[in-house]
Amino acid sequence: MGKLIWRNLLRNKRRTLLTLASLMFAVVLLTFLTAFLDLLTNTEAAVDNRLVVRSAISLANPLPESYGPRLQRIDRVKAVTPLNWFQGVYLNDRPENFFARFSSDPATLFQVFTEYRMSDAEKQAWAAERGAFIAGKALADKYGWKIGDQIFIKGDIYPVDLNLTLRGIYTAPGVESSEKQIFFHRRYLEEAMNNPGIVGTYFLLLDSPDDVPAVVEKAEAMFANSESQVRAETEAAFQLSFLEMIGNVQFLFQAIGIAIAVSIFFITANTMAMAARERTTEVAVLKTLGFQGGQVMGMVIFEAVLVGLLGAAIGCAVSAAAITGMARQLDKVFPLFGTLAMTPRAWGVGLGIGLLVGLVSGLFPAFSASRLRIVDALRRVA
Amino acid sequence: MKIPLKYNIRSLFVRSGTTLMTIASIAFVVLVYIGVLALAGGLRVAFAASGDPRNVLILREGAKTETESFFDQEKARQLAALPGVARGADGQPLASGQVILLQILKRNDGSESNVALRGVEPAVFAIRPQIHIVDGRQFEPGKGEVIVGKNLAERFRDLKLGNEVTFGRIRFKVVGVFDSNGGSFNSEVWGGALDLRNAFRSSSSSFSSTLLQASSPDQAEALVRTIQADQRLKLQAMSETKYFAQQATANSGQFIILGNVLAVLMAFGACFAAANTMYAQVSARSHEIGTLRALGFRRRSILAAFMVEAALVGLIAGVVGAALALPLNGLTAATMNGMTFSEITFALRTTPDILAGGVLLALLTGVVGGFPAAWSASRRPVTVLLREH
Amino acid sequence: MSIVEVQDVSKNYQRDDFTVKVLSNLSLAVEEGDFVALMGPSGSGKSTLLNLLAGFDRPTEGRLVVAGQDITRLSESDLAVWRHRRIGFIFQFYNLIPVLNALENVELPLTLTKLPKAKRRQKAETALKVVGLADRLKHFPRQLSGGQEQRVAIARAIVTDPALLLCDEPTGDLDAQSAEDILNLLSELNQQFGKTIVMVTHDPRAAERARVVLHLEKGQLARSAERVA
Repeated sequence: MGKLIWRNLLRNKRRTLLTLASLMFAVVLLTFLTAFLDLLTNTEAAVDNRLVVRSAISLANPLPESYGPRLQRIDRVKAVTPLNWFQGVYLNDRPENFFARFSSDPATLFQVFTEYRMSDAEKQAWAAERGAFIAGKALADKYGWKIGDQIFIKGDIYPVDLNLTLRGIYTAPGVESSEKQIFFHRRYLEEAMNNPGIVGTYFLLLDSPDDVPAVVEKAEAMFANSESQVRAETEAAFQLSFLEMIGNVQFLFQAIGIAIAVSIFFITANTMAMAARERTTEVAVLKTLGFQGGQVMGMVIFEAVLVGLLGAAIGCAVSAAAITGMARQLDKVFPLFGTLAMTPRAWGVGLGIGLLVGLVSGLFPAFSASRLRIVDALRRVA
Repeated sequence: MKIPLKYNIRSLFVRSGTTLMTIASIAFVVLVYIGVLALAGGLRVAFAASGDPRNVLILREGAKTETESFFDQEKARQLAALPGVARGADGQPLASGQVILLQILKRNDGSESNVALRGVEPAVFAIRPQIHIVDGRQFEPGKGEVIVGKNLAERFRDLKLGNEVTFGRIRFKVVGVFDSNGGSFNSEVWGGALDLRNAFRSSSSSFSSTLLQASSPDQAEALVRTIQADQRLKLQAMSETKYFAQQATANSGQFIILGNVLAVLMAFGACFAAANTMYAQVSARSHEIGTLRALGFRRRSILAAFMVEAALVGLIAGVVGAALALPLNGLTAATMNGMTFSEITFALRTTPDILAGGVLLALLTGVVGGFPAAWSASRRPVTVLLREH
Repeated sequence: MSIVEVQDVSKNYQRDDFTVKVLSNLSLAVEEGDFVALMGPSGSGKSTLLNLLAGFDRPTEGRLVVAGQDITRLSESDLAVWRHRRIGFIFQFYNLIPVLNALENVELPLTLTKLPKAKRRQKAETALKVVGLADRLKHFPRQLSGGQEQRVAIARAIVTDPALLLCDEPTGDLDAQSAEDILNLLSELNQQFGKTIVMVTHDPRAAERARVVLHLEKGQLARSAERVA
C-alpha cells in the first residue's frame, strides 16, 4: 500500500517536482517570517531576577539620580546600576555601525550584570579613568579594537560628543547579543551637561525570581507621590514592551502567513485534484478488488500529506541553510538581525503547515474517491 | 495563421477546476504584494500630507528628529524675527515654537504605546491651515486643555472627547478632535507649549523645534540657507517637506523591502503552480494540438496560443488579486515611527501604481510559468501528439 | 446448487424526463462450476446484469443471491468485503495499476488480508504461474503485451481464490491469438480449478467456449439457456 502511494507520487515526476518546488518557496517564506518574529521576541539576554525601573511617563523621560540609593534599600535588592541609552552615531549613521551605547556606573554594572566577565585589572582601569569605556568581545572583534584605542561618538539624543578610550573587553558567555554593546562612565555624560543628575533606567538584581512581584510593588509605591513616578518590570517584559509599541507587526506577519498558506493550499489542492482525476479508473479497480471507501480515502489523503510534508521538509531545510548563511552576512549590515536563527518554532510552523495543507488539500479528492461508484467510473472509460 | 482568442478562453474553462485553483494561488501572491506595499503607500501619503514647501523646520544641530532636539526659547525668538518669515493676518510672524514629548498610554485593547504630544504656539494654526476641528472645540492655552488627532481618539481609551488624561504630572482635558487631512499629525495630541512643558517639568524655557512659514517655497529655501549659514545658532534648518520625506523613507522602506521580497519569492512558487497547470492543459490536449497542426497551424501558432492562455491566467489572477486587495484601501494600521519612537496610525493606500504592479507581477508569473509547457507543446511531432489519447 | 440466483430483477435508469427500463423482471440461475456466456446486442442489459452481479450497482426491484449472499441487502462496506472474498472481476481493458509490477498487481488484493508478506508473495507467484507468466514477475504493465496484461489481470482475480469469476468482454481488446490464449486459460480455470465463470461477450468464438450461453434482448432472456457441452 505504501509502495503504491509512493510510486503514484513518482508517476508524474514533473508535476510532483513542480508542486514540491512551489511548496518549498512558500515554506521558506513562512519559516523566515517565523524566525524573524522569534528574533524580535527573543529575550535570551533577559535574566528572571533582574528588574528594570523607568519613568512611568515614557522612556524619553529621565528619573532623578537620587532614586538609585532608595531603590538599593528595598528588601531583596542585591544591586542597582543606572543605565542611560546614549545612542549617538559612530563613524556614520549606516545601520551596520549601529550598536547599543550606554552610560553606566563602573562600580555597580558588574554587580547587576553578573553574567558579564571581565578581569579585575580591566575593571579597575575602567573605573579609574573618566573617559574610559568597555566593549563586548563580539563588538571589539568586529571593529578590531584593542585596549587603548580611542573612538569618537557624535551625540544625537544628548547634545554631547564622546571621546572614549577602550580600557576593558568583557564577555557574556552564551549570549552573543550582550557582547554587542559598549558602556562608558555616567559621570562623563553628567559633567558634559552640567550635572543634571538624570538616569534613563535603573537595572536591579534581586535575590531570586520569586522576589519580583514584591519588589515591583514596593518600587512603584515608593515613588507614587514623587515628582517622577516609576514603572518596574522584569527585563524580559521591558524588552517585549518595545515590540508592543511596534504594534501591528505580529498581526501583519500572521496575515501574510495566512495568505501564503492559502496560496500553497491552492497549489497542492490543484496537484491532488489533477492526480485524483487521472486515477478515477484505478480507484474503481481498487474497489472492485474489495478495497473499502475508507481505505481508498486514506490512501489519497496520505499521498497529499506526503507531498505537503515533503515540500515543507525541503523548504525548512533550505530555510535553515539560508538563515545560517544569511545571519553571518546580516551581522555585518544589520547587527540587530545577526542572531537570526532557524528556531524550533520555525521548524514547527513549516512542517505544521505542510501537514495541514496536505490534509486539507487531500480531503476533497479523497472524499470523492471514497464515494466514487464503480459503475460511474467504469462507464467513463468505456 | 493565428489561433483565435476565443479558442484559448474556452479551453481554459473546459478544465476550469485546475485553472481556477491556479488563478487563486497567484491571486493570493498579488494580495500579499499589494497589501504590504499599501502599508508603505499609506505611510508616504501620511507624511506627504504633513509637509508644506513654504514651511521651514528648525532643529538642534545633530538631532535627527524633533524628539531628539531641544534649544533655548531665546533662539526661537531670534528665528521668528528673521527677515523672510511671513506675517499673519494679525501682523505677527508666522512662527511657532514646538515641544515634542512622549507619554505612555493604553490602547483600547489594553496594550501600551508611546504617544507623541506636541506643544504649540497659536500661530501654528495659521501655518498649518489643513488642521481643522472635527469634533468639540479648539483648546485654550493655559487652561490644561488639549485636542487629539482623529486616529488617536479612535485607538486610545483615555483620548476620547471629554475625557481627562494625565500627561507627565498634570491632568488635561480632551476638548476637541482634529483632522489634518490624513497627515501624520492625526497620531498626535496637541496642546499649549507652556502647558505641556510644565506638565513634564522639562526645562521650562526650551523648544524641540521651531516652525516658520515663508511667503513662498523660494523664500523658504533662502530662509534655510540663512539659518544654516549662521554658525552661532548651532541649529539646522530644512524644508518641512524634506523633513517628512526623510521620515517617510525611513519608515516605509522596511515595508517596501518586505513587500518586494515576499512578492518575488511567492511569485517563484506560483510560477511552478502555473507551470503545472499549463503542462496539464498541454497533456490533456495533445490530441487537439495534433489536430490543429494537421489542419495546418504552425508551431509558432501553437506556442503563441498557449502563451496567450498562460498570460490570460496571470492577468485574471492579477485582476482578482487586486480586487481582493481593494478593500484594504483606507484600513487603518499602526506602527511605531522608528525615528520619533511614537506610534503613528495611518490609512493603507492601494494606489494605482501599486495595483498595476500587482497585476504585472501576476502576468509575469503566468507567462514565465507557462512558457516551458507552451514550448514543449509546440515542439512535439504531430505523429506523437495524435497517438496519445 | 446455484451460485447465482437472479430473482425477478428489474433495473431502471432515469434519463432526463423518461425512465429507461434496462432489465425487466429477469430471473435466472447459474449452477456452481458453470461457465456462462452472456450475449446480446448493445443495450440489451448484459453489462448492467454483470454490474449487478458484482455489486457495483443495485437493482430497482428484485433479489440477487450471489455466492450464498443476498447482495441486495448488503451495505457498501459489507459489499466490499464480500467482493474481496467471493468475486474475481476481469475487465476488457485489464485495468492494471500502471505503477505496480505484475507481481505487485497480483499481490494487491492480498494486502487486504492479514497474510504475512512472504505468504502473499508466494500466493501471487503461484497465481502468475497458473496464468503462465512465472517469468514476468517484475515487469510493469507497459512492458507487457495486451494478452499478457490480461493474464496478469486474471491472476489478480483468482489470487484470493474466489468462487465466482465475472468477466466483462475479456477478449474485446485482444488480437485473435491472444484471445484464444485467454479463453483457453478461462476454460482451464473452469475445468481444472472448478471456478464458476460468468462472461459478457459478443465474440461468438468466446461464447463457443462456454458451457451455457444466455441471450439477453431488451432486458429479458431471449430464449432459454443453451447447453453447449
